Amino acid sequence: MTVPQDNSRRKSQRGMVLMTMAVTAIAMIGAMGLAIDLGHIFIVKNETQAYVDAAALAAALQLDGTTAGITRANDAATNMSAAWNFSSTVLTNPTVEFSSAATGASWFSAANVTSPSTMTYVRVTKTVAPNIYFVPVVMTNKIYATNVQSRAIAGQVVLAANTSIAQGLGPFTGIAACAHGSTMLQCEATASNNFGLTVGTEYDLQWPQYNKNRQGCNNGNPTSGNEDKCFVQPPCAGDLALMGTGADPMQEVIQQWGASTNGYWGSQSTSQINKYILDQQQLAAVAIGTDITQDLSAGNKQGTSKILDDRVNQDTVNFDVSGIAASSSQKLVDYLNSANQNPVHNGRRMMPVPIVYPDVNENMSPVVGYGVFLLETNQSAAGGTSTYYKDGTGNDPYCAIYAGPWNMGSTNGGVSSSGGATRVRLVQ
Amino acid sequence: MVEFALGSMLLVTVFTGTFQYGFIFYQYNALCNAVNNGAHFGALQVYDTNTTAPSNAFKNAVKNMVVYGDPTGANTTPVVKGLGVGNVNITIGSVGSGSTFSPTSVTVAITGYTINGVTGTYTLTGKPAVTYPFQGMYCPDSGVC
Repeated sequence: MTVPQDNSRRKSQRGMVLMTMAVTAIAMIGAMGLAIDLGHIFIVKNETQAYVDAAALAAALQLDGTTAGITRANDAATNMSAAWNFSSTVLTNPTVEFSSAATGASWFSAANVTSPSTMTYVRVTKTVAPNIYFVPVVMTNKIYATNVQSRAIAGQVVLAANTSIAQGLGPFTGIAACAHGSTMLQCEATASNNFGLTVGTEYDLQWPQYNKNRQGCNNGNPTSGNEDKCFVQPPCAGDLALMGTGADPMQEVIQQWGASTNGYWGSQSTSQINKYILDQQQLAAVAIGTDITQDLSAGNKQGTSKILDDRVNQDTVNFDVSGIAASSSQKLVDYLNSANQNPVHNGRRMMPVPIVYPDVNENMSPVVGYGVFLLETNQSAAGGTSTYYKDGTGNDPYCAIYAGPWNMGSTNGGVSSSGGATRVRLVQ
Repeated sequence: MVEFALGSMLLVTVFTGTFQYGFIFYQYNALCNAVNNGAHFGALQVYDTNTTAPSNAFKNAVKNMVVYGDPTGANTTPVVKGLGVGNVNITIGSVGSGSTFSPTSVTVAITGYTINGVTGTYTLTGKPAVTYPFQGMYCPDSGVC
């Protein structure tokens, strides 16, 4: 049953399918392009986004308000390793910029930062150009690679004041240098000014033995400039320098703490002290405004001093790079610079502690913020003795070098901010 | 008939290829997201050994995070079919050793996972991989924090 009369017409229609296919092939390749090229682009975007996210976090962890911190942050972002194009091509040289806010403020490259003390945010941008294979077929102005830009912003975000900190703080305290007679709120407000403390200066983590009967102490009411007479050994250099000024931590300590406490809030038991100093545990959770008075105790000087030395010795840089005689600010700078040297510091000498303000009017010692201190050592690269155990059995103070406000998870101080600890987060 | 045979062969090839690459790309992208989540999660955890070998608790939490999107492992549906905790490789970047050890970064990679395409299989070795700087707490001695 054939239909022969249609033969001629069918002949003329031969090739129609092929011709149609040839035309639709272009559309098909376009559609394939969407599936394959776009799929490829999405993967590339994902890979570079993970890279800039990690680089921005690494950079923001390094910021500490100094130009050296900006340099370290820039290096940290640049040295972050990752690869794109199905992990086949290494990603390098991201654009790293700094700003004081996540949005609304100008961004500066590391070389152009003029006020490092305000830089709390890092923006990392990386553009890569994956090849596209199918989409160009249907393009009129053909391109064979397309730019894919990934960008991340990370910054030191201030935790809410009522955030309860249950882990990570050492069992010592720093004393804020607030104007004598300030309220807790007034003292908290000085957080953006490092609580009146100077980065790179030694302060008391634990105060020397107090004795109001010493000559010059005047039974606990020393005249201005004689406050150090009330201590069996002189307090640390930074606190001594503030003596007799309007904001004198020594005065608060004498009037509020006296002989019963010295800034230590921990335990008498060696195993507990181990956990508090080496293992991030705390006697109690604290938040801004927590009165720490009931946790303060005379402590166990031998126990704490020994374990403080252990903590120092857990650092790869457990010595003073420029020697024991170097200034405390130089010691801090050397320690932080060892981020790029051999050995690289590992952050164990950095101890975050609550900053308190023994408030005489309110008869309490509230936490007004958190600071990071560099633990001292009496060792040079060639070796030496430990610091705290040598002195800690007597009446000497435990001194440490203030490194800035506490930026959680970082191995250096943070950028001074208004109250509370900071945490590095991705904000975009 | 001949045109249809020729044309359909071409069409089937093209569609198969498109499907295959689309599917592989989809799987790879899902794995990228999974390792990204796992590495970011791991970088924020407590690290409680003093070697580059993490504790089982750390390892399991990160691996579960990668595979199931949930550190506890309560969710048992993998984000990509066939992915198991054995395919997750965790590498810890560090400075120092022994008593001076400290973690600095967490890298999570997929290893030994095979994507089944229509006409071929692709085994991923060490990729995708993502590294995050370590931001969590380090407590080496007793793992009590």
